[in-house]
Amino acid sequence: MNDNELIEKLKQLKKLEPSQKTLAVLESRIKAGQAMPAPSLKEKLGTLVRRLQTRPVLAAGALAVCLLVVATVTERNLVLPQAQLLWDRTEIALAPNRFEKAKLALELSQKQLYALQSTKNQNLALQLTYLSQAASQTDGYVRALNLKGEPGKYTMAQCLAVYRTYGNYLDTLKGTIQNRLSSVSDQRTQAQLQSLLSKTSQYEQGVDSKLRQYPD
Amino acid sequence: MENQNPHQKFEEVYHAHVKAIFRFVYFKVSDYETALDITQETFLKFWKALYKGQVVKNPKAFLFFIARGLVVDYYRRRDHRTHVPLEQIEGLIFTTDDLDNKLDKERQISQLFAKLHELREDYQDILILYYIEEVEVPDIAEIVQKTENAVRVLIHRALKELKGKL
Repeated sequence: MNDNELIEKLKQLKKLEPSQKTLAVLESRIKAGQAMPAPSLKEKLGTLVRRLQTRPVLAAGALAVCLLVVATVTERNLVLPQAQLLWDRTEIALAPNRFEKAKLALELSQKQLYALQSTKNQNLALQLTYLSQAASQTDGYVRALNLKGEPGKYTMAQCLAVYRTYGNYLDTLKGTIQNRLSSVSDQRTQAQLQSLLSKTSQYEQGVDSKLRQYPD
Repeated sequence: MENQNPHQKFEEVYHAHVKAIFRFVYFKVSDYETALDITQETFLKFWKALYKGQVVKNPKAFLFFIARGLVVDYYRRRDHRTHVPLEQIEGLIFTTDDLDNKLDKERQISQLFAKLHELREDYQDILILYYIEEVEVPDIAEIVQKTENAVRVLIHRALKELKGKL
C-alpha cells in the first residue's frame, strides 16, 4: 500500500459520524450545562476589563470615575472641600427657620475662614471665592433675623449671641484678609482680597448698627 | 463575528464542529459515555469562554486543543488505555454512498482503526487531525503546541509508522 492509498483509507474514517441519537443526547446535555453558575469576582473583573476594551464610552466613564477617585486621594484639599461645601449648603437650605439658617451659614463661613487660614497660596483664588460666597450668604441670613426674636423659634438673647459671634467672625476675617494682602503678589488675587475686604467692612457696619439697637 | 451574540456564535461553532470533536474524542477514548462527557465538557468550556467575553479567534483549534487536553487528563486518571474494535463501538455510523462495497469498506476501516490505535498518542493525534479532520498545519501546531515544521515532520513519521503496521 503506498502513501496515497493509505491517506485515502484514513480519509474514509471521516465517514464515521455520530448518530442522530448521539447528537441529540449531546445537544441536550450541552444545553443543560449552558446554565452557567454565577461568575467569581475574579471572572467578573476579567469580564469588565474585556468589555471596557470593546466599549469606548463605557471605558471613558470608568476612566472618569477612576480619575475622580485618584483626584480625591491626591488632591483632598481641592475635591473634599467642594463636596463638603455642597453638603453644608444643602443643610442650610433645608433648615427649618431663619435663625437655624443663620447659625448654619455662620458655621459654614467660619469653616471657610479656617480653610483660608490653613491654605498657603495653593488654590487661594478658589478658596477666596468660596469664602466670599459664604460670607455674603451669612450676612443675608443674619440681617434677616428679628432682633426681638420669634416666638417658638429663637429669643432676643439668642439673636444677640449670633450677632456678636458674627461680629467677631467679621473682625477675624478682616485681619486675615489684611495679612494675606501683604503676602500675595499676584494682582488678580490681590483684587479678590480687596473686594472681600471691602465687603467685610460693609458687613461690619451693618452688624454694628444692629448691635447698637440692643439695650445695654 | 467578534461582535456576535455569544449564543449565536456558540450555536454556529457547535453545529460546525460537533461531529469532528466527538469523532476525535471517540477515536481516542473508544468509550461512548466518556466521549459524550468529554465532548460536552469541551463545548461547555468554549461556551464559558464566550460567556466571559473572551475572544476566540480560532474556535476549531480552540475546541481541539481543549478536547485533546481533556483526553490526556482522562488517561492520566485511568493509567491504562483500552482499544475497542470499531464494530463494537456505539453511537458512530458509517456514512457512504457506495452501498455495494459498504461491508468491505467497513472491514478495511476497522482494520485501519485498530492499527491507528497502536501508534503512540502524538502520532494518532496528528494523523486524525490532519487526514481525518482536515485541520490545517498552522492550526495543528496551535493545538499540539509545536512549531509548524515539527508538525510536518510528525505527520510524515506517523504516516510511515502506520504504513509499517499494515
